Amino acid sequence: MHQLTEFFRGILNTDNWPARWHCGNWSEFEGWLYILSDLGIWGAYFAIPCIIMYLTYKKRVPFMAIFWLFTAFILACGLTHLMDAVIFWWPAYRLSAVIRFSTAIISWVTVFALVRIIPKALQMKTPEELEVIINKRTADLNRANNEMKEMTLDLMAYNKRLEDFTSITSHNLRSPVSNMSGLLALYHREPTTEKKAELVQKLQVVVSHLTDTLDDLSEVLKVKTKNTEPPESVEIMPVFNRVRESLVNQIDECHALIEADFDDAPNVYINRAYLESILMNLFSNALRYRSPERKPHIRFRTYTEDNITVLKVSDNGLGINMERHGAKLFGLHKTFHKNPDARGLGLFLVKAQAESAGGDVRAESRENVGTTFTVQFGKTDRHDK
Amino acid sequence: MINNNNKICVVDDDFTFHYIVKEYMRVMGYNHKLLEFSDGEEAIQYLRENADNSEKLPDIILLDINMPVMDGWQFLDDYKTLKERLAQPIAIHMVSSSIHDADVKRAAKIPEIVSYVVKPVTIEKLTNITGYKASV
Repeated sequence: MHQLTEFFRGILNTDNWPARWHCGNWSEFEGWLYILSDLGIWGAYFAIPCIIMYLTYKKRVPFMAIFWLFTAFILACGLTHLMDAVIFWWPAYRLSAVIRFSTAIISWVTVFALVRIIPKALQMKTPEELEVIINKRTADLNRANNEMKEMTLDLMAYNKRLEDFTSITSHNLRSPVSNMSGLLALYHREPTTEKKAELVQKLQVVVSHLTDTLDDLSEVLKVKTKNTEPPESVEIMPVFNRVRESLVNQIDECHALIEADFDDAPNVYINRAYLESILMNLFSNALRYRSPERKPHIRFRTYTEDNITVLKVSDNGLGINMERHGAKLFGLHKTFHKNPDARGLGLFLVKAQAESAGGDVRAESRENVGTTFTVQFGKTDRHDK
Repeated sequence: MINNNNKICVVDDDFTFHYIVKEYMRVMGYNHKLLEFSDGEEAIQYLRENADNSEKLPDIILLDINMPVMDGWQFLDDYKTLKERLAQPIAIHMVSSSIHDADVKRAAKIPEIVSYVVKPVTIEKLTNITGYKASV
Protein backbone atom coordinates (compact mmCIF):
# COMPACT_ATOMS: atom_id res chain seq x y z
CA MET A 1 0.00 0.00 0.00
CA HIS A 2 2.79 2.31 0.94
CA GLN A 3 4.60 1.47 -2.29
CA LEU A 4 1.46 2.21 -4.29
CA THR A 5 0.89 5.70 -2.85
CA GLU A 6 4.59 6.48 -3.15
CA PHE A 7 4.43 5.34 -6.78
CA PHE A 8 1.58 7.58 -7.73
CA ARG A 9 2.84 10.54 -5.77
CA GLY A 10 6.05 10.43 -7.82
CA ILE A 11 4.45 9.40 -11.06
CA LEU A 12 6.61 11.77 -13.11
CA ASN A 13 9.74 10.99 -11.10
CA THR A 14 12.77 10.37 -13.31
CA ASP A 15 15.48 10.19 -10.65
CA ASN A 16 15.93 6.44 -10.60
CA TRP A 17 16.61 5.93 -14.30
CA PRO A 18 18.81 7.45 -16.95
CA ALA A 19 17.34 8.74 -20.22
CA ARG A 20 17.44 5.92 -22.75
CA TRP A 21 20.10 7.58 -24.86
CA HIS A 22 22.43 7.10 -21.91
CA CYS A 23 21.43 3.57 -21.13
CA GLY A 24 23.70 1.29 -23.07
CA ASN A 25 25.61 2.31 -26.23
CA TRP A 26 23.20 3.67 -28.78
CA SER A 27 24.67 4.70 -32.11
CA GLU A 28 22.91 7.70 -33.73
CA PHE A 29 21.43 5.40 -36.31
CA GLU A 30 20.15 2.77 -33.84
CA GLY A 31 18.65 5.45 -31.59
CA TRP A 32 16.89 7.39 -34.31
CA LEU A 33 15.63 4.25 -36.03
CA TYR A 34 14.02 3.25 -32.75
CA ILE A 35 12.62 6.73 -32.06
CA LEU A 36 11.30 7.45 -35.54
CA SER A 37 9.74 3.98 -35.80
CA ASP A 38 7.93 4.50 -32.49
CA LEU A 39 6.77 7.97 -33.58
CA GLY A 40 5.62 6.51 -36.91
CA ILE A 41 3.63 3.78 -35.15
CA TRP A 42 2.13 6.33 -32.80
CA GLY A 43 1.11 8.58 -35.73
CA ALA A 44 -0.55 5.71 -37.54
CA TYR A 45 -2.25 4.51 -34.30
CA PHE A 46 -3.63 7.99 -33.88
CA ALA A 47 -4.86 8.22 -37.44
CA ILE A 48 -6.67 4.84 -37.44
CA PRO A 49 -9.11 5.67 -34.59
CA CYS A 50 -9.83 9.01 -36.23
CA ILE A 51 -10.82 7.20 -39.40
CA ILE A 52 -12.88 4.64 -37.49
CA MET A 53 -14.71 7.38 -35.61
CA TYR A 54 -15.31 9.28 -38.79
CA LEU A 55 -16.75 6.18 -40.47
CA THR A 56 -19.01 5.27 -37.57
CA TYR A 57 -20.16 8.87 -37.44
CA LYS A 58 -20.99 8.90 -41.16
CA LYS A 59 -22.51 5.45 -41.34
CA ARG A 60 -24.39 3.53 -38.75
CA VAL A 61 -22.56 0.27 -38.12
CA PRO A 62 -23.47 -2.70 -35.96
CA PHE A 63 -21.62 -3.27 -32.64
CA MET A 64 -20.95 0.42 -32.00
CA ALA A 65 -19.47 -0.37 -28.54
CA ILE A 66 -16.78 -2.54 -30.09
CA PHE A 67 -15.72 0.31 -32.32
CA TRP A 68 -15.34 2.59 -29.31
CA LEU A 69 -13.20 -0.10 -27.63
CA PHE A 70 -11.09 -0.46 -30.77
CA THR A 71 -10.58 3.27 -30.81
CA ALA A 72 -9.48 3.35 -27.19
CA PHE A 73 -7.31 0.25 -27.64
CA ILE A 74 -5.47 1.64 -30.65
CA LEU A 75 -5.04 5.07 -29.10
CA ALA A 76 -3.59 3.43 -25.97
CA CYS A 77 -1.20 1.27 -28.03
CA GLY A 78 -0.13 4.42 -29.84
CA LEU A 79 0.56 6.18 -26.54
CA THR A 80 2.89 3.36 -25.40
CA HIS A 81 4.98 3.88 -28.53
CA LEU A 82 5.02 7.64 -28.09
CA MET A 83 6.16 7.10 -24.53
CA ASP A 84 8.91 4.74 -25.73
CA ALA A 85 10.24 7.48 -27.97
CA VAL A 86 10.02 10.16 -25.30
CA ILE A 87 11.93 8.01 -22.80
CA PHE A 88 15.07 8.55 -24.87
CA TRP A 89 15.20 12.02 -23.29
CA TRP A 90 12.72 11.86 -20.40
CA PRO A 91 12.86 8.58 -18.45
CA ALA A 92 9.36 8.74 -16.87
CA TYR A 93 9.21 4.97 -16.53
CA ARG A 94 6.45 5.14 -13.94
CA LEU A 95 4.16 7.05 -16.29
CA SER A 96 5.11 4.61 -19.06
CA ALA A 97 4.17 1.68 -16.81
CA VAL A 98 0.79 3.25 -16.05
CA ILE A 99 0.14 3.80 -19.78
CA ARG A 100 1.09 0.19 -20.53
CA PHE A 101 -1.08 -1.08 -17.69
CA SER A 102 -4.07 0.87 -19.01
CA THR A 103 -3.38 -0.44 -22.50
CA ALA A 104 -3.34 -3.99 -21.18
CA ILE A 105 -6.70 -3.48 -19.43
CA ILE A 106 -8.31 -1.90 -22.47
CA SER A 107 -6.89 -4.64 -24.70
CA TRP A 108 -8.35 -7.40 -22.57
CA VAL A 109 -11.70 -5.68 -22.28
CA THR A 110 -11.69 -5.54 -26.07
CA VAL A 111 -10.80 -9.22 -26.24
CA PHE A 112 -13.74 -10.15 -23.98
CA ALA A 113 -16.11 -7.89 -25.83
CA LEU A 114 -15.02 -9.47 -29.13
CA VAL A 115 -15.49 -12.97 -27.80
CA ARG A 116 -18.96 -12.04 -26.62
CA ILE A 117 -20.10 -10.78 -30.00
CA ILE A 118 -18.67 -13.72 -31.98
CA PRO A 119 -21.99 -15.59 -32.27
CA LYS A 120 -23.83 -12.42 -33.28
CA ALA A 121 -21.13 -11.41 -35.74
CA LEU A 122 -21.21 -14.82 -37.36
CA GLN A 123 -24.92 -14.35 -37.99
CA MET A 124 -24.36 -11.10 -39.83
CA LYS A 125 -24.80 -11.32 -43.57
CA THR A 126 -22.29 -10.32 -46.16
CA PRO A 127 -23.58 -7.87 -48.76
CA GLU A 128 -23.87 -10.75 -51.25
CA GLU A 129 -25.91 -12.80 -48.82
CA LEU A 130 -28.04 -9.78 -48.09
CA GLU A 131 -28.61 -9.23 -51.76
CA VAL A 132 -29.80 -12.81 -52.16
CA ILE A 133 -32.19 -12.32 -49.25
CA ILE A 134 -33.42 -8.99 -50.59
CA ASN A 135 -33.95 -10.46 -54.03
CA LYS A 136 -35.94 -13.31 -52.58
CA ARG A 137 -38.05 -10.97 -50.47
CA THR A 138 -38.59 -8.67 -53.43
CA ALA A 139 -39.71 -11.65 -55.50
CA ASP A 140 -42.04 -12.73 -52.68
CA LEU A 141 -43.46 -9.23 -52.43
CA ASN A 142 -43.91 -9.00 -56.16
CA ARG A 143 -45.66 -12.32 -56.20
CA ALA A 144 -47.95 -11.27 -53.35
CA ASN A 145 -48.54 -7.97 -55.10
CA ASN A 146 -49.44 -9.69 -58.34
CA GLU A 147 -51.74 -12.05 -56.50
CA MET A 148 -53.41 -9.06 -54.89
CA LYS A 149 -53.76 -7.37 -58.24
CA GLU A 150 -55.32 -10.49 -59.69
CA MET A 151 -57.62 -10.77 -56.74
CA THR A 152 -58.59 -7.13 -57.08
CA LEU A 153 -59.35 -7.65 -60.74
CA ASP A 154 -61.36 -10.76 -59.89
CA LEU A 155 -63.23 -8.85 -57.24
CA MET A 156 -63.86 -5.95 -59.57
CA ALA A 157 -65.14 -8.34 -62.20
CA TYR A 158 -67.29 -10.00 -59.59
CA ASN A 159 -68.60 -6.66 -58.46
CA LYS A 160 -69.32 -5.70 -62.04
CA ARG A 161 -71.25 -8.93 -62.45
CA LEU A 162 -73.26 -8.14 -59.35
CA GLU A 163 -73.96 -4.67 -60.69
CA ASP A 164 -74.95 -6.19 -64.00
CA PHE A 165 -77.35 -8.41 -62.18
CA THR A 166 -78.84 -5.54 -60.25
CA SER A 167 -79.43 -3.68 -63.46
CA ILE A 168 -80.74 -6.85 -65.10
CA THR A 169 -83.26 -7.38 -62.35
CA SER A 170 -83.96 -3.67 -62.26
CA HIS A 171 -84.57 -3.19 -65.94
CA ASN A 172 -85.24 -6.52 -67.49
CA LEU A 173 -87.41 -7.99 -64.81
CA ARG A 174 -88.97 -4.90 -63.31
CA SER A 175 -90.21 -3.47 -66.57
CA PRO A 176 -92.22 -6.48 -67.73
CA VAL A 177 -93.61 -6.89 -64.23
CA SER A 178 -94.60 -3.24 -64.04
CA ASN A 179 -96.20 -3.60 -67.46
CA MET A 180 -98.20 -6.55 -66.15
CA SER A 181 -99.44 -4.58 -63.18
CA GLY A 182 -100.34 -1.65 -65.47
CA LEU A 183 -102.24 -3.89 -67.84
CA LEU A 184 -104.01 -5.62 -64.96
CA ALA A 185 -105.07 -2.27 -63.47
CA LEU A 186 -106.52 -1.31 -66.85
CA TYR A 187 -108.19 -4.71 -67.11
CA HIS A 188 -110.04 -4.12 -63.87
CA ARG A 189 -111.22 -0.66 -64.90
CA GLU A 190 -112.36 -1.76 -68.33
CA PRO A 191 -116.06 -2.59 -68.68
CA THR A 192 -116.15 -3.92 -72.25
CA THR A 193 -115.27 -7.50 -73.15
CA GLU A 194 -113.45 -6.53 -76.37
CA LYS A 195 -111.12 -4.26 -74.49
CA LYS A 196 -110.58 -6.91 -71.85
CA ALA A 197 -109.64 -9.40 -74.57
CA GLU A 198 -107.18 -6.89 -76.04
CA LEU A 199 -105.58 -6.38 -72.65
CA VAL A 200 -105.24 -10.12 -72.09
CA GLN A 201 -103.47 -10.37 -75.41
CA LYS A 202 -101.07 -7.62 -74.38
CA LEU A 203 -100.48 -9.49 -71.14
CA GLN A 204 -99.66 -12.57 -73.18
CA VAL A 205 -96.93 -10.65 -75.04
CA VAL A 206 -95.43 -9.33 -71.82
CA VAL A 207 -95.42 -12.78 -70.25
CA SER A 208 -93.62 -14.27 -73.24
CA HIS A 209 -91.03 -11.43 -73.07
CA LEU A 210 -90.57 -12.18 -69.42
CA THR A 211 -90.05 -15.86 -70.23
CA ASP A 212 -87.41 -14.92 -72.82
CA THR A 213 -85.66 -12.72 -70.31
CA LEU A 214 -85.59 -15.51 -67.74
CA ASP A 215 -84.15 -17.86 -70.37
CA ASP A 216 -81.48 -15.27 -71.19
CA LEU A 217 -80.68 -14.87 -67.53
CA SER A 218 -80.22 -18.58 -66.96
CA GLU A 219 -77.95 -18.74 -70.00
CA VAL A 220 -75.89 -15.84 -68.67
CA LEU A 221 -75.76 -17.42 -65.23
CA LYS A 222 -74.47 -20.64 -66.74
CA VAL A 223 -71.46 -18.81 -68.18
CA LYS A 224 -70.93 -16.54 -65.21
CA THR A 225 -70.96 -19.20 -62.54
CA LYS A 226 -68.46 -21.31 -64.48
CA ASN A 227 -70.09 -24.62 -63.58
CA THR A 228 -69.36 -25.89 -67.07
CA GLU A 229 -66.55 -27.77 -68.75
CA PRO A 230 -63.07 -26.38 -68.09
CA PRO A 231 -61.26 -24.65 -70.97
CA GLU A 232 -59.17 -26.85 -73.26
CA SER A 233 -57.23 -26.58 -76.49
CA VAL A 234 -59.81 -26.74 -79.28
CA GLU A 235 -59.20 -26.96 -83.01
CA ILE A 236 -61.12 -24.05 -84.45
CA MET A 237 -61.74 -25.18 -88.06
CA PRO A 238 -64.24 -28.02 -87.40
CA VAL A 239 -66.18 -25.79 -84.99
CA PHE A 240 -66.21 -22.97 -87.51
CA ASN A 241 -67.44 -25.31 -90.24
CA ARG A 242 -70.30 -26.47 -88.04
CA VAL A 243 -71.36 -22.87 -87.35
CA ARG A 244 -71.08 -21.97 -91.02
CA GLU A 245 -73.21 -25.01 -91.86
CA SER A 246 -75.99 -23.88 -89.54
CA LEU A 247 -75.97 -20.35 -91.03
CA VAL A 248 -75.89 -21.53 -94.62
CA ASN A 249 -79.36 -20.17 -95.43
CA GLN A 250 -78.57 -16.64 -94.25
CA ILE A 251 -75.21 -16.74 -96.06
CA ASP A 252 -76.76 -17.84 -99.34
CA GLU A 253 -79.58 -15.39 -99.04
CA CYS A 254 -77.25 -12.37 -99.07
CA HIS A 255 -74.50 -13.97 -101.18
CA ALA A 256 -71.98 -13.24 -98.46
CA LEU A 257 -68.31 -13.83 -99.18
CA ILE A 258 -66.79 -15.76 -96.27
CA GLU A 259 -63.05 -16.12 -95.70
CA ALA A 260 -61.50 -18.20 -92.94
CA ASP A 261 -57.79 -18.55 -92.25
CA PHE A 262 -56.79 -20.40 -89.10
CA ASP A 263 -53.39 -21.60 -90.30
CA ASP A 264 -51.36 -19.31 -88.03
CA ALA A 265 -53.10 -20.54 -84.91
CA PRO A 266 -55.26 -23.60 -85.54
CA ASN A 267 -56.06 -24.17 -81.86
CA VAL A 268 -57.57 -21.90 -79.24
CA TYR A 269 -57.80 -22.37 -75.51
CA ILE A 270 -61.41 -22.21 -74.38
CA ASN A 271 -64.45 -24.28 -73.45
CA ARG A 272 -65.60 -25.96 -76.70
CA ALA A 273 -69.25 -24.92 -76.37
CA TYR A 274 -68.20 -21.31 -75.75
CA LEU A 275 -66.07 -21.26 -78.87
CA GLU A 276 -69.07 -22.37 -80.89
CA SER A 277 -71.25 -19.76 -79.22
CA ILE A 278 -68.67 -17.00 -79.82
CA LEU A 279 -68.30 -17.90 -83.49
CA MET A 280 -72.07 -18.19 -83.88
CA ASN A 281 -72.74 -14.80 -82.29
CA LEU A 282 -70.05 -12.91 -84.19
CA PHE A 283 -70.88 -14.65 -87.47
CA SER A 284 -74.64 -14.11 -87.24
CA ASN A 285 -74.13 -10.49 -86.10
CA ALA A 286 -71.94 -9.83 -89.12
CA LEU A 287 -74.64 -11.26 -91.36
CA ARG A 288 -77.52 -9.54 -89.61
CA TYR A 289 -75.91 -6.08 -89.60
CA ARG A 290 -74.71 -6.19 -93.17
CA SER A 291 -74.89 -3.07 -95.28
CA PRO A 292 -77.63 -3.08 -97.92
CA GLU A 293 -75.22 -1.20 -100.19
CA ARG A 294 -72.45 -3.81 -100.27
CA LYS A 295 -72.08 -7.50 -100.80
CA PRO A 296 -71.21 -8.81 -97.33
CA HIS A 297 -67.59 -9.80 -96.90
CA ILE A 298 -66.75 -11.51 -93.61
CA ARG A 299 -63.24 -12.59 -92.67
CA PHE A 300 -62.16 -14.90 -89.87
CA ARG A 301 -58.51 -15.14 -88.93
CA THR A 302 -56.50 -16.43 -85.98
CA TYR A 303 -52.94 -15.65 -85.00
CA THR A 304 -50.70 -15.69 -81.96
CA GLU A 305 -49.52 -12.58 -80.19
CA ASP A 306 -47.47 -12.62 -76.97
CA ASN A 307 -48.38 -16.27 -76.36
CA ILE A 308 -52.08 -15.47 -76.72
CA THR A 309 -54.28 -16.75 -79.49
CA VAL A 310 -56.35 -14.03 -81.12
CA LEU A 311 -59.40 -14.37 -83.35
CA LYS A 312 -60.27 -11.46 -85.60
CA VAL A 313 -63.69 -11.26 -87.23
CA SER A 314 -64.02 -8.39 -89.71
CA ASP A 315 -67.02 -7.37 -91.77
CA ASN A 316 -67.93 -4.57 -94.15
CA GLY A 317 -71.36 -4.06 -92.62
CA LEU A 318 -73.28 -1.17 -91.07
CA GLY A 319 -70.72 -0.56 -88.35
CA ILE A 320 -71.37 0.93 -84.95
CA ASN A 321 -70.85 4.46 -83.71
CA MET A 322 -68.16 3.61 -81.15
CA GLU A 323 -68.11 7.10 -79.66
CA ARG A 324 -71.75 6.75 -78.74
CA HIS A 325 -72.06 3.07 -78.02
CA GLY A 326 -68.52 1.83 -77.39
CA ALA A 327 -68.95 1.85 -73.63
CA LYS A 328 -72.06 -0.29 -73.58
CA LEU A 329 -71.38 -2.47 -76.60
CA PHE A 330 -70.90 -5.60 -74.50
CA GLY A 331 -73.59 -4.77 -71.94
CA LEU A 332 -76.59 -6.99 -71.43
CA HIS A 333 -79.75 -6.03 -73.31
CA LYS A 334 -78.06 -3.15 -75.10
CA THR A 335 -79.02 -2.88 -78.74
CA PHE A 336 -77.77 -0.35 -81.21
CA HIS A 337 -79.71 -0.82 -84.40
CA LYS A 338 -83.42 -0.73 -85.00
CA ASN A 339 -83.75 -4.44 -85.14
CA PRO A 340 -86.77 -5.95 -83.40
CA ASP A 341 -85.04 -9.35 -83.10
CA ALA A 342 -82.00 -7.96 -81.33
CA ARG A 343 -82.06 -8.88 -77.66
CA GLY A 344 -78.70 -7.51 -76.67
CA LEU A 345 -77.51 -10.89 -75.44
CA GLY A 346 -75.00 -12.08 -78.04
CA LEU A 347 -72.06 -9.75 -77.40
CA PHE A 348 -72.67 -9.89 -73.67
CA LEU A 349 -72.28 -13.66 -73.85
CA VAL A 350 -69.25 -13.45 -76.15
CA LYS A 351 -67.50 -11.28 -73.59
CA ALA A 352 -68.47 -13.47 -70.65
CA GLN A 353 -67.39 -16.61 -72.49
CA ALA A 354 -64.03 -15.18 -73.58
CA GLU A 355 -63.45 -13.97 -70.01
CA SER A 356 -64.25 -17.38 -68.57
CA ALA A 357 -60.98 -18.72 -70.07
CA GLY A 358 -58.98 -15.65 -69.05
CA GLY A 359 -59.49 -13.85 -72.36
CA ASP A 360 -61.21 -10.72 -73.54
CA VAL A 361 -62.95 -9.17 -76.52
CA ARG A 362 -62.61 -5.75 -78.17
CA ALA A 363 -64.34 -4.06 -81.04
CA GLU A 364 -63.29 -1.48 -83.59
CA SER A 365 -65.84 -0.06 -85.91
CA ARG A 366 -66.65 2.73 -88.30
CA GLU A 367 -70.16 3.51 -89.34
CA ASN A 368 -70.88 2.39 -92.89
CA VAL A 369 -67.42 0.87 -93.21
CA GLY A 370 -67.51 -2.20 -91.04
CA THR A 371 -66.66 -3.75 -87.72
CA THR A 372 -63.77 -5.85 -86.45
CA PHE A 373 -64.12 -7.93 -83.33
CA THR A 374 -60.89 -9.10 -81.70
CA VAL A 375 -61.29 -12.03 -79.34
CA GLN A 376 -58.33 -12.90 -77.13
CA PHE A 377 -58.41 -16.42 -75.80
CA GLY A 378 -56.75 -17.62 -72.62
CA LYS A 379 -53.03 -18.30 -72.45
CA THR A 380 -52.49 -21.97 -73.08
CA ASP A 381 -50.15 -22.34 -70.12
CA ARG A 382 -52.31 -20.46 -67.68
CA HIS A 383 -54.01 -23.43 -66.08
CA ASP A 384 -51.44 -26.08 -66.88
CA LYS A 385 -49.34 -25.42 -63.81
CA MET B 1 -97.57 24.54 -66.13
CA ILE B 2 -100.07 21.87 -65.24
CA ASN B 3 -103.31 22.33 -67.09
CA ASN B 4 -105.75 20.09 -68.86
CA ASN B 5 -104.46 20.86 -72.29
CA ASN B 6 -100.91 19.49 -72.04
CA LYS B 7 -99.59 17.54 -74.99
CA ILE B 8 -97.69 14.46 -73.93
CA CYS B 9 -94.83 12.59 -75.53
CA VAL B 10 -93.53 9.10 -74.69
CA VAL B 11 -89.93 8.15 -75.49
CA ASP B 12 -89.54 4.46 -74.66
CA ASP B 13 -88.57 1.31 -76.53
CA ASP B 14 -91.24 -0.68 -74.74
CA PHE B 15 -94.45 -0.57 -76.79
CA THR B 16 -96.48 -2.12 -74.01
CA PHE B 17 -95.55 0.92 -71.96
CA HIS B 18 -96.77 3.18 -74.79
CA TYR B 19 -100.03 1.25 -74.82
CA ILE B 20 -100.49 1.52 -71.06
CA VAL B 21 -99.84 5.28 -71.06
CA LYS B 22 -102.20 5.73 -73.99
CA GLU B 23 -104.96 3.77 -72.29
CA TYR B 24 -104.50 5.57 -68.98
CA MET B 25 -104.51 8.95 -70.69
CA ARG B 26 -107.69 8.00 -72.57
CA VAL B 27 -109.33 7.14 -69.25
CA MET B 28 -108.13 10.51 -67.96
CA GLY B 29 -109.80 12.35 -70.80
CA TYR B 30 -106.69 13.16 -72.80
CA ASN B 31 -107.83 14.12 -76.26
CA HIS B 32 -104.60 14.90 -78.13
CA LYS B 33 -102.62 12.46 -80.13
CA LEU B 34 -99.95 10.87 -77.92
CA LEU B 35 -96.51 11.55 -79.44
CA GLU B 36 -94.68 8.23 -79.47
CA PHE B 37 -90.99 7.50 -80.10
CA SER B 38 -89.15 4.27 -79.50
CA ASP B 39 -85.72 5.78 -78.92
CA GLY B 40 -84.01 9.05 -78.11
CA GLU B 41 -82.84 9.72 -81.63
CA GLU B 42 -86.32 9.59 -83.15
CA ALA B 43 -87.52 11.97 -80.47
CA ILE B 44 -84.67 14.46 -80.78
CA GLN B 45 -85.05 14.46 -84.54
CA TYR B 46 -88.75 15.31 -84.21
CA LEU B 47 -88.00 18.10 -81.74
CA ARG B 48 -85.29 19.49 -83.99
CA GLU B 49 -87.59 19.50 -87.01
CA ASN B 50 -90.42 21.16 -85.12
CA ALA B 51 -88.36 23.40 -82.84
CA ASP B 52 -90.17 26.62 -83.82
CA ASN B 53 -93.63 25.11 -84.10
CA SER B 54 -95.21 25.13 -80.66
CA GLU B 55 -98.35 23.52 -82.11
CA LYS B 56 -96.37 20.39 -82.74
CA LEU B 57 -94.11 20.43 -79.68
CA PRO B 58 -95.13 18.42 -76.60
CA ASP B 59 -95.48 20.05 -73.18
CA ILE B 60 -94.37 16.98 -71.30
CA ILE B 61 -91.95 14.19 -72.19
CA LEU B 62 -91.92 10.84 -70.43
CA LEU B 63 -88.36 9.70 -71.04
CA ASP B 64 -87.05 6.15 -70.54
CA ILE B 65 -83.38 5.53 -69.75
CA ASN B 66 -82.46 2.25 -71.45
CA MET B 67 -83.21 2.41 -75.15
CA PRO B 68 -81.38 1.26 -78.24
CA VAL B 69 -79.69 3.66 -80.66
CA MET B 70 -79.86 6.66 -78.29
CA ASP B 71 -80.63 6.21 -74.61
CA GLY B 72 -82.25 8.69 -72.24
CA TRP B 73 -78.96 10.26 -71.09
CA GLN B 74 -77.75 10.76 -74.63
CA PHE B 75 -81.12 12.28 -75.52
CA LEU B 76 -80.70 14.77 -72.66
CA ASP B 77 -77.21 15.70 -73.88
CA ASP B 78 -78.61 16.58 -77.28
CA TYR B 79 -81.70 18.19 -75.78
CA LYS B 80 -79.55 20.66 -73.81
CA THR B 81 -78.10 22.07 -77.01
CA LEU B 82 -81.52 22.23 -78.62
CA LYS B 83 -83.45 23.67 -75.67
CA GLU B 84 -82.77 27.35 -76.45
CA ARG B 85 -84.24 27.05 -79.93
CA LEU B 86 -87.53 25.47 -78.84
CA ALA B 87 -90.67 27.58 -79.27
CA GLN B 88 -91.96 26.49 -75.87
CA PRO B 89 -90.58 24.93 -72.70
CA ILE B 90 -90.91 21.20 -72.23
CA ALA B 91 -91.09 19.41 -68.90
CA ILE B 92 -89.07 16.19 -69.04
CA HIS B 93 -89.88 13.43 -66.58
CA MET B 94 -87.62 10.44 -66.41
CA VAL B 95 -89.79 7.32 -66.26
CA SER B 96 -87.70 4.22 -65.74
CA SER B 97 -87.87 0.83 -64.12
CA SER B 98 -84.39 1.42 -62.75
CA ILE B 99 -84.28 1.83 -59.00
CA HIS B 100 -80.50 2.10 -59.23
CA ASP B 101 -79.15 4.77 -56.93
CA ALA B 102 -76.69 5.80 -59.62
CA ASP B 103 -79.50 6.54 -62.07
CA VAL B 104 -81.59 8.45 -59.53
CA LYS B 105 -78.61 10.57 -58.46
CA ARG B 106 -77.55 11.20 -62.02
CA ALA B 107 -81.05 12.35 -62.91
CA ALA B 108 -81.15 14.66 -59.89
CA LYS B 109 -78.08 16.48 -61.19
CA ILE B 110 -79.68 17.29 -64.54
CA PRO B 111 -81.72 20.51 -64.31
CA GLU B 112 -83.74 19.60 -67.40
CA ILE B 113 -85.33 16.69 -65.55
CA VAL B 114 -88.42 17.74 -63.57
CA SER B 115 -88.92 14.45 -61.78
CA TYR B 116 -87.78 10.85 -61.67
CA VAL B 117 -90.67 8.41 -61.73
CA VAL B 118 -90.17 4.71 -61.10
CA LYS B 119 -92.27 2.32 -63.20
CA PRO B 120 -94.93 1.02 -63.01
CA VAL B 121 -96.84 4.21 -63.79
CA THR B 122 -100.21 4.50 -62.12
CA ILE B 123 -103.07 6.91 -62.68
CA GLU B 124 -101.93 8.87 -59.59
CA LYS B 125 -98.40 9.22 -60.93
CA LEU B 126 -99.67 10.31 -64.33
CA THR B 127 -102.00 12.84 -62.68
CA ASN B 128 -99.04 14.31 -60.80
CA ILE B 129 -97.02 14.58 -63.97
CA THR B 130 -99.63 15.68 -66.48
CA GLY B 131 -102.38 17.39 -64.52
CA TYR B 132 -105.06 15.22 -66.08
CA LYS B 133 -107.40 13.50 -63.65
CA ALA B 134 -109.27 10.24 -64.00
CA SER B 135 -113.00 10.84 -64.18
CA VAL B 136 -113.95 7.73 -62.19
